[in-house]
Amino acid sequence: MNNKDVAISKIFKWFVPGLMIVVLCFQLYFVSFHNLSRWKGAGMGMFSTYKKRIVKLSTPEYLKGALFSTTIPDSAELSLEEFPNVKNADRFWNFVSSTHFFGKENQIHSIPSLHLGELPTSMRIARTLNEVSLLNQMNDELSQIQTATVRVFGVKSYEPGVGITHFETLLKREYGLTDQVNK
Amino acid sequence: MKFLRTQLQRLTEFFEQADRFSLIGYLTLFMLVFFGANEWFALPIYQIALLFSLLASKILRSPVLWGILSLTTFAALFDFWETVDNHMWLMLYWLLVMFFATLSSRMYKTDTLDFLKHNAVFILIFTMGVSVLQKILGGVFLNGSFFEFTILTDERFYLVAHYLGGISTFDFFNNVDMLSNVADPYSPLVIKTSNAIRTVSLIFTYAIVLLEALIAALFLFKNKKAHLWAHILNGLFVVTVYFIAPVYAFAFLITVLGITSLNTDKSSSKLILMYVALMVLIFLYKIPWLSLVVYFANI
Repeated sequence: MNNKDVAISKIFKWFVPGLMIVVLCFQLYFVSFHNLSRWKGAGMGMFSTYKKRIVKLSTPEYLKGALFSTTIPDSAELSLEEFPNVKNADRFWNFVSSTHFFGKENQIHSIPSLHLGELPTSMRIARTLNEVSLLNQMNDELSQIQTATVRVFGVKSYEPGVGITHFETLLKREYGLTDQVNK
Repeated sequence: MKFLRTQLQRLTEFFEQADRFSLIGYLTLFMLVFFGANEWFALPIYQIALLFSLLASKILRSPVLWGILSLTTFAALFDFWETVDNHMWLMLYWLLVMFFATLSSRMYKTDTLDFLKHNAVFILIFTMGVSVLQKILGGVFLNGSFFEFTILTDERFYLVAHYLGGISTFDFFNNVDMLSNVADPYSPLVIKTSNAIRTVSLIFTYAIVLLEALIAALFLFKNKKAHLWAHILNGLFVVTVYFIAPVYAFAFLITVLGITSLNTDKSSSKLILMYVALMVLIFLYKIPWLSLVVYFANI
């Protein structure tokens, strides 16, 4: 091997360790300044701090403790939980407002939001297409979610031996039809 | 007893003679199929790769195979980078190592096993060392508050909270439900705890941080004895931590990295046997033992 070959083979050998350190630096930056969960983002921070984070969506029409369940699992809620920022909040609101509708008695109906990375099975999509067709038939009875507040909060501190747990708001964002997001 | 000893001896001899690179390659493919990304496009590619490698083991030495597997895993993680678990990132890193090791061997005739060992040791030191660093930076680990809170509110810790901490089943699940139903961030919550839980959580806290720090530190040394202890502690880590935390993919990955970071001489075959036993244990951990006890107690 000549000198150039030796240098390239060394780069090959140290490529992954170098990449791991670069990704770790990004992770530490996002954790320190942008609320990324310490557990996530390739920072090896699992079991290092409280994990509990909660996403709440409340609307004037319909108020519920936990977020209503969706027909197809979507990563939008999880992304917002682990990395609460404006981009993920907007993505989450776009998902909810385009796939969830109120029925006459305030019950929630949802249609799937297809995402290439997490497609459902063929059998599941067949059932869902049937559900969409039923929803289309009752179109007049459905109303869109017009305004909502999206909030993410997590455990801030826990007092050992006493059990008192305090929470902190990590992100709060309000949405409505006049909002830029909905145009 | 004699029969068991003979079988263990045969198994040890088998690992002494086995081609180490093929062993690592097959274990990596096996890990991808059972614990890798489960996106609709990823799993079939992993399964086809394993099938072809079983039919023609030469494929294992092809950088094309590891390149395709790296790209597939990257595509599976790309869109969800902020939510995927750390072991999925580590699997991607490991596939990249396999890619560069085979590429380097093909282009420059470098020693593949030495390349893999170098990277496996680095990944183990990084994982354990940075995990300790994050526990310090998080600010709530070393005083025991993280573990006390987690034992009391995470369903995976029910056995610990109930049998070691003396928390009644009712109080434990009340804690879990209270936390799941928190409506607003302004009113504090009072979690039911006990003095025993405080002691248990402090033991857990320092045992884990010490174990991780020791594994990382021992792997940093070059001498054989330090590495032997690092492997033994690595095994202890898998046995104890994953008994409680069911992150089996992480556990399996650690065992694959453990085997890869062993020396290639005959002295390592007993440690390979230890890691294989750990792999079996990981699958046994998946059995719902408490449900079995309850079932047999009620028939």
